[in-house]
Amino acid sequence: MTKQFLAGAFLACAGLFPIALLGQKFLPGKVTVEQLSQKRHPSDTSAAAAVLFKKGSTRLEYKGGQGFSMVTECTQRIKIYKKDGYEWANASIPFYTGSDNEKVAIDDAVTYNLVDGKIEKTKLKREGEFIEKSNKFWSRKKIAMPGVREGSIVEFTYRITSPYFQNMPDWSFQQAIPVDYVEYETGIPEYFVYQPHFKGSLQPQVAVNSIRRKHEGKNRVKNMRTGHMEDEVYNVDFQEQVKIYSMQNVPALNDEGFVNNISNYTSSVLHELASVRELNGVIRPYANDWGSVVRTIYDNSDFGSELARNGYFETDLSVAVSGAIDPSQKLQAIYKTVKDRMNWDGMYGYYCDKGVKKAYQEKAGNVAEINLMLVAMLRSAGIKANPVLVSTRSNGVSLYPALSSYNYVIVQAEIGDSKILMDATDKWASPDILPVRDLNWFGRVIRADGSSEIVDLMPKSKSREIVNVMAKVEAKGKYNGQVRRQYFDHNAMNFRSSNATLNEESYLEKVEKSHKGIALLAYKREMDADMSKPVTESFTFEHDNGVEVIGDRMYISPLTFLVLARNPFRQEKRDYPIDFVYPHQEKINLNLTLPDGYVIESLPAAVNLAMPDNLGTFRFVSQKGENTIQIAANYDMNEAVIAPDYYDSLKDFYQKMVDKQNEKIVLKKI
Amino acid sequence: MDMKSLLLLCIAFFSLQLNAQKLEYASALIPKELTDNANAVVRYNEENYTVNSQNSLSAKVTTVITILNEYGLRNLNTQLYYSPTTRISRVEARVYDKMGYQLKVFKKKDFRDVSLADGFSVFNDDRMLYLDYTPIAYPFTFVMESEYHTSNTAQMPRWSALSGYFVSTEKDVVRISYPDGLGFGFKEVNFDPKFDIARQQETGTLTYTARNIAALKREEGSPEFHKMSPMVCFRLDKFSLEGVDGHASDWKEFGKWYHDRLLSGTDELPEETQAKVRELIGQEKDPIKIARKLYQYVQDRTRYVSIQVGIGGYKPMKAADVDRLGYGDCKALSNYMRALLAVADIPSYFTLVYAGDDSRRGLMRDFVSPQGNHAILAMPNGDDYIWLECTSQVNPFGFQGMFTDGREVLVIKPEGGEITKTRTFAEQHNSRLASGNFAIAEDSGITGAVVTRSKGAAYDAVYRNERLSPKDKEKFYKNSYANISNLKLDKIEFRNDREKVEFTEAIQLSAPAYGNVSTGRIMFAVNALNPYSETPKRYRNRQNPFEVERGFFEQDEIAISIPDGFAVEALPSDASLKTKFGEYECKIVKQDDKNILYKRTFLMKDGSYSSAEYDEYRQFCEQVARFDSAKAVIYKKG
Repeated sequence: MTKQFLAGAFLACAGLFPIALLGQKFLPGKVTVEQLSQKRHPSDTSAAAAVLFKKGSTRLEYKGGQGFSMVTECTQRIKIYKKDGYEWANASIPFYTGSDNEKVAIDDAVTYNLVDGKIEKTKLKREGEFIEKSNKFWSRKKIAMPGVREGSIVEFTYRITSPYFQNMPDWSFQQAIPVDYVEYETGIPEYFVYQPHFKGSLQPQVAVNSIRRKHEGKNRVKNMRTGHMEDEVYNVDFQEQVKIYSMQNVPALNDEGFVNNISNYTSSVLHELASVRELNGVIRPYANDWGSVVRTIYDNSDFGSELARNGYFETDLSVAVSGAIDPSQKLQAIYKTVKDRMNWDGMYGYYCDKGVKKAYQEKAGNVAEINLMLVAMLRSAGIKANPVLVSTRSNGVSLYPALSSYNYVIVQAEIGDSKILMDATDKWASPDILPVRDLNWFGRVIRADGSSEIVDLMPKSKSREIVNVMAKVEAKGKYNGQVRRQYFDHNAMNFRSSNATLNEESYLEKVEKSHKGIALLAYKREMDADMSKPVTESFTFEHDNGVEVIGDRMYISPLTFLVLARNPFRQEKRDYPIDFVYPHQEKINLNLTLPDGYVIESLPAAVNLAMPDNLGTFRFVSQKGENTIQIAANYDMNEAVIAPDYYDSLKDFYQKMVDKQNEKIVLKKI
Repeated sequence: MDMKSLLLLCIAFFSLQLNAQKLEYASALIPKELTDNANAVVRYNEENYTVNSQNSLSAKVTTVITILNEYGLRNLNTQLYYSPTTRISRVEARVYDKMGYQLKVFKKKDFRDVSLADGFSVFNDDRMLYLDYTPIAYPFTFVMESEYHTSNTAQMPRWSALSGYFVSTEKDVVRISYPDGLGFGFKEVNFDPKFDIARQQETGTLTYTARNIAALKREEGSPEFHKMSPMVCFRLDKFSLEGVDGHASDWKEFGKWYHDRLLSGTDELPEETQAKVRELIGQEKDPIKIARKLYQYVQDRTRYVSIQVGIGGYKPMKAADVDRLGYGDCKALSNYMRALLAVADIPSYFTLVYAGDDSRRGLMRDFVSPQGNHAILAMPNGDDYIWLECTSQVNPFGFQGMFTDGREVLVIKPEGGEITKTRTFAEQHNSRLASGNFAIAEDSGITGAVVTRSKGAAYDAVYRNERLSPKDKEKFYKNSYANISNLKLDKIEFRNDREKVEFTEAIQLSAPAYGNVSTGRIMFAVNALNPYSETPKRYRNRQNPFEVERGFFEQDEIAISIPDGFAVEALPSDASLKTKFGEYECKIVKQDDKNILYKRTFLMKDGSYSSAEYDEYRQFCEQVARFDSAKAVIYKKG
């Protein structure tokens, strides 16, 4: 399966769904004795709780004199099966309290219990509601439902009123518990165009309708000329487009290891504001294609103008590139200058905050300041360079052209035919070796002329690790030797970022802890200041448990301390792609000297394993010498991401590899 | 601009530069013994506290810390907490480079103001000011000055001469002044002579000065930081807690105050609930049996919801409210249980404790002050108490698990408080007893079945497994039998005896290839079902003492059969170890041509040991791990 196909799996297309007729409206009905006495969920018997229904809507409501505001309402009825499901009887609804406040109201919050065969209702009173101010911009309304026991059903409605009609809330159909029925309705007046986008593998049913809405009334307003209060008559008449998305029997979402970002797989619908026709007839477009998204970003003074600034670094730049003779050396020198000077404050975004100049002076800034500065410096030195918008792993995969599709910016430089990606926020990164947060499918490069193009962010080449071992088994079964290990590319970046500042003693203790049974002696490390160079370490070791002497035989597992002791893929089934982050390769070469007085009785046989479609390979070769054994074990994972269809073969591949790497050599006394 | 004013400007600029250099902050001046094992060094810390009255305390704190590397950044504390009773009047921070030149100044407006909502507490009104600083180079020196005022004098500030692992202290001073008549007291904790700390006491003032305290290293098995790091605690006999005045010079008085001011009047229950309780009790007379029923009633009808507002951090919400809402925090639920027991005329006492699975921490016996972070209930039972954890809906009656076992707690009775210690599971009672069998197949596959009974702290570690989803259950047991690859769990069954507090796991498992096969031989580890592998880390230079907080006892008896047509070539020899850390024994008996019996006992004792004993302890653990991985070899006959 190709990457494009996998990326496609995130996207579902609205146009393909059968259009159901309106009129089959869902009516929740009353809570019944049967529902209350149900002991477990019929299809997911281990579920601690389940959503019996979740029904919501977002509509733009007209209020005379005030215009439109966005009202989102959501009613949920949740069955609590087990004590572990009690957390579902608490709710927390965040809302914005910046310049124009959002408002949250809780309604009809009731707990239902079965008491002596009768339904007992307990209402949530004010005492169970609480507002918590998180910071200057955000607050949350929290509720804790009363009288909850195993078997209870809780139901509540919340309503968020918001002046920010650009931000329609994202709606998820799927939760961490099963959802029996979920429905979401949007009611959009003809003045507004929102584009829906879908995520996840489950597709909702869609029904469409149109309603005529009329609003007439009077407002008391002050006549600016006379200063008197007067009645102003309004009369608004518009078509409202109603869409209802619904889904039934949605299974619980469950997170797995080696997953990029679980929200990519959660079935949900997102709405993007495409345009607004104002009451005076003027149509105001909001970003709805890549061209306009890019233009909007470029035209923002915190992006385009910052990119155009260059006076602040000119002197330093000429010093930095003074020794460079070709563009490639220039690029390296400029990248190093920015990376060494600048310190990332951990903030994401593609707009500058304090501006490149101030960031340059203060030597610290957000990602936009650091990377736009890098673009400007490269351009100033005559190297073709452009910013690349990125959606980081934590932001998920961008589904549609919108300002919110991206949350980060990096750099692409072009020298001749080669295109090089760079991110100067990470001290351990190097050209084309991006920090892991950046490695999320595709970015979009913005050129100086305003045009843009998709860019594949995923590493093309395999990150290598090469291990050479010279070891010796002595007569009494003592096992010792020397290891030389080299890390390249992403492996080198990871090594540096987790170990570079650790002192040697702590590092050795850490290695000994992870390589069970060995004691590390003389240790040496070559770690070039040039991050694109590999890291090399070498050490001698003594191993306590590498050899077992039983009767007149010796059983040796020469690689055990270097390789995986067990298969990381143990679960029987897999729902989501397996994310290795980048393709990688490991080569181990071992030269083992045998003790006198023993002969080889058995040697692990050679194997050649391959996953289908050349996703991964493992080759193992062993060879006898005079009194030595040579072993070569080569492992290649050629793709960064493996589709779940391949899980069984991946699991099997790993198992065979792990078994082979841990297989024993048997020696027999002569 | 004329020449003169330009010159003046230059002079002003240079003098500004000069003013901004603090040579003493230069990182090169730090003594070497303080930078070994350190990621940061507190260059100078000064804390000045003034007790103005029973309900007024002012504080002025200046901290100068040099952060040596990026790991040290986590020791850069830029947070200041406040609440309705604690007000921050001033805060300023300055940053200096490694030469001592000033880089940046932050004022109060540069600090962010956030709620301390933790996503766990539903209601929480504590807040925090903090600063986000992005270092531009290491080392750098950070200075933070703050002043605050609080009306809370019940929990006075504590002074620590070390601020965390891998952080040294060059100089640290605390000065506290207090008026006569409030009953000022203090306690020195972990004052080892190796720490250079001087005390200076004058009328109405107490000063401590610490110098050149080298960083502590974080090492496996170390006691908690607070058990090693030197600290001074302060207290007042006459104090104020969130607006409630108090007076206590001993635990008895403190308990009485707590009872009268914070507990009394919170335990009334509606008539309807009282009637329900009486109905539930029926004719039962045995107080323990009654308490069991009521405990179950609380477990079925309530849930834990954290609530931390104002005095609510200390005062439980009313039992009648818990009764109506069906939830509350630890204080509310303990108090609710107390109220229910009172209906049955069974006395029980609200109890304060430090809770935590990882490390036991007791209340300081000889330091009367509000302590603890959790509440439980003590129900008298002869000379002893039954301890009730009321926040759990699944805990067995009277079982504390590792959360509150073996530590000093304050039992609050109407007549006064009393410090006592909760129950400790001796290692023998913290046990896992396993019996089972497994068969090795001709292709080295394994099929086996084992029944394990867990008690004490071991019960605590596994009893929640019965609530796991099938997927998580599979994950858990594939991890526990990690030594068997390609494991299939054919059957997992549990029995949870809540009365005896014993959890039984019955597992049936199989795997296609367990042993190593070569030239007609199969080699396999005899201890397939419970090998010990958690060997402690090796240290080149162990610094800290260490402790085994909860020892354990394991007993395994496993019948092993080998395939037809095979014979035993070699069996591991029996082994036995007896050390001060514990005892180990395994016996491997060949019963007939086809059957082997494996018997093993492993006792790890509780204990506290010096750093010098660490290597010996590590070797003991490694030997056990080696014996547990010992292999048998069988071969195909003929």
